[in-house]
Amino acid sequence: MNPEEKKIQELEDTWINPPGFIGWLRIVNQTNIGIRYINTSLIFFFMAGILGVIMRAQLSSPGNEIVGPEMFNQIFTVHGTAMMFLFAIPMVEGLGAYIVPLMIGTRDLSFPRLSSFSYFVFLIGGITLFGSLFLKVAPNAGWFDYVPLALKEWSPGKNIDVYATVITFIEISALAAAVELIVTILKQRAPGMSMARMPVFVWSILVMAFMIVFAMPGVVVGSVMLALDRLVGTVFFDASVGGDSLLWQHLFWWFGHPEVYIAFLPAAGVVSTIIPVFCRRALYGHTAVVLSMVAIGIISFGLWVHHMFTTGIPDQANAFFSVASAMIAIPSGIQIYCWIATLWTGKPKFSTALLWCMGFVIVFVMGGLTGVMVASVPFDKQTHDTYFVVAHFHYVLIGGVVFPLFGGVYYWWPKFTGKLLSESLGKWNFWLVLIGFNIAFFPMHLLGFMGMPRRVYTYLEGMQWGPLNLLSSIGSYILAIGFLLFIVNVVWTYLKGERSGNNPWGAPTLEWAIESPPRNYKFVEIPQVNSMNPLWEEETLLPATTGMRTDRREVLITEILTGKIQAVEILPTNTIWPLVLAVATGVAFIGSIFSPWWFVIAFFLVFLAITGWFWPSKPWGEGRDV
Amino acid sequence: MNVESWTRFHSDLRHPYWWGIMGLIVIESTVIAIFLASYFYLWIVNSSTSRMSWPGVELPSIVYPSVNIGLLLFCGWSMWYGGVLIHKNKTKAFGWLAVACCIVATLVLWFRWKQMLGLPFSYDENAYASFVWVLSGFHFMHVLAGILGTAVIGWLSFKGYYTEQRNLGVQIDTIYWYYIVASWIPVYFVIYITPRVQW
Repeated sequence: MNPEEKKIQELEDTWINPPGFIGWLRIVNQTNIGIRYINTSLIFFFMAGILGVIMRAQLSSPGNEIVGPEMFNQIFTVHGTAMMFLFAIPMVEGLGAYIVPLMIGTRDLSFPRLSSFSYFVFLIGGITLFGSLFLKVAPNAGWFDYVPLALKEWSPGKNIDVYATVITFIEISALAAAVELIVTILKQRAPGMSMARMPVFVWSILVMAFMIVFAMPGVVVGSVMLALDRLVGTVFFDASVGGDSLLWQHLFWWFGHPEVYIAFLPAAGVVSTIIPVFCRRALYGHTAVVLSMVAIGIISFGLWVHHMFTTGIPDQANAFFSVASAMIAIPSGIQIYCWIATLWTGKPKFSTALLWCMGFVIVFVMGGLTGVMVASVPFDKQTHDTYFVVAHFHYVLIGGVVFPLFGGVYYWWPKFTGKLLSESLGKWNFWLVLIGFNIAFFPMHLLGFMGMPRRVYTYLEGMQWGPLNLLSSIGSYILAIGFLLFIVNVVWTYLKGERSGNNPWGAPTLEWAIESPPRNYKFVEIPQVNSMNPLWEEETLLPATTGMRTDRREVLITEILTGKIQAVEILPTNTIWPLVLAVATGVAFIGSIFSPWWFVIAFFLVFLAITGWFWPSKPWGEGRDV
Repeated sequence: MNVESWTRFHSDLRHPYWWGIMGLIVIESTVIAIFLASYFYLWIVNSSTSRMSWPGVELPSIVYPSVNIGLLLFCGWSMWYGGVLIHKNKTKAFGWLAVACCIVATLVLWFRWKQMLGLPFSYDENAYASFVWVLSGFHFMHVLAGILGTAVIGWLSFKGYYTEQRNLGVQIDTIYWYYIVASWIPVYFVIYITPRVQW
């Protein structure tokens, strides 16, 4: 065995994943955790999608009784909650967890055990939410869960307790992953990868993660107050003794509006990655796109009141938030013009991944235009709580998030698995989704104008909403078949897909410089980066250092702005403690649905789990350089 | 560049954990900031609509909350000085300072407990009362977490794990103590002092 083979063998041994089921629970490797995030969030996406189809079946004709009003309430609440908390955020964080370390040239995330913990918290929270639906005690007051409807007096069952505790629980997962991504991006980029050379996708994940850090605490505080009001008897939302119902709306939308951009920005990062690759040119206006992302991240915190135009708040406040809402169209528009310019001046190859991006631009622009419409207070007052708004946010969220993320899955699938998804099945997948989506959701604009309110489980024949609802339901079935084709494509590829090689698209970023799927250590040597598109602009990637040990999990630490080498640090290895901590945290939150004492008991369980997590394994050694 | 001889024992901002604990502190500070913003929101809404005079209950004593500021500052100092000592390899001395920190912090909890039992209102009396209970309780939980964490750090120190180079756990615990101390000051001023000010 020559020295190079010996080094690789040692890296394999050091970064090995433990075998067996217990071993599976102990794995902390970022590619494993990232793919678990992506798979689990896709499963929740399909489950929530089935709920959407059930809703459309119920509404396809007047007077239907496929599901009753109470179950309909639970279904639309779990549909929205799952799509936002169990698909959109975990999907973009999972994609970030998988792709970002590879793209910036490091071997793992900064806190591998934390990423394992955050995944298990997400999984337990998701199972609890869907489990509550099967037990018929799922949340039933909408994904925004407005008080006073959600207070004990008007919702006496356990349904809202599930919402109030599980939401905070799941947010722990999102917050942990956000810190993880921020630190990894700021401190573990390959030497030479200054902020200016950072790929746009990494920028988008960085901005998203900062947004999560500042936005999520809003819903955490709100749902803690709600849980305490319901379970303990505090009165934060009781207007008769100094509380206020609108406080909930402020807290919820402080999170809820940035949340749209938390999901959208990484999706925009995916588009900014895919379009240049398939146009064979660098992204037009790289700096403008990055600055637009940062601007969207900041402005999105100044818009939340546009969800509350009809609540009777002062006109001046309405005017301010109306202007701010319209203003966010400017950086969004800049990005779209840069993508169009890249397409225009490049040589586009219309692969499935690029088609999803093109579909995104069209659908998202339509959603954006209706967004500018509802940003106007008089217009909003006419369409608030109607199907127009349902149409608007599905154009924004499916167009702005689902389309690019599916594009991203097609684009990075060879990296995940070493195989190419079928292009022809992929094109069927795309076109059916695009057509089905527009048939399902465009008529909702008109239904909104005709006065059909949101969240009704049925309607009378005399309202004349039947034909458009039927059309919309047919569209939703086509949409569902379109998404089913994705599953068919995955199965077909697993069985018969062709090998992709390491860089099937000829892409310029570092994740394509290594094997597909990547080895656990990812890079044999951490590369030196000298350009923005290293695989296009550099003939060979040279190692940045010598002397990194291979018998333990070492990574390079670099300066935030310049990417100069600063230190070498050792990452922790596989362990069961993140799972134990996730279960203990789950006992605290889910247990408090039944009794606040579970929180107290679990506090000490959490302490024991954290102690086990950080307890140094022996031998301790000298504890100093010798 | 050959990094073979570089030390791997960093406990400052070159180590990702330093940034990680800062991330946790930023998140928790945002939570407290949003709680306090909600407090002022309800105060303004109630005052401007004449729904309820704020705070609407007899004001709580500030004796224990004020004494606790001094005690918490001692905890922060003891951890800081412990860090200075551990960099001189005086690990036993650090261990005793950790013990002192835990004892004084337990006193903080005891005072807080007595204060809460003696409050002239219960948590469900009005919104102000809910804030006093929840924010004081939230901070109580943090002090308890600090005590438990520092007890483990102190134990490891007595067992000889920490050295003048290997002391990342000490630094992380110390930074978190700074947060526990610092977070009490705005909470104290907002929920105990501002209702006393004649505006």
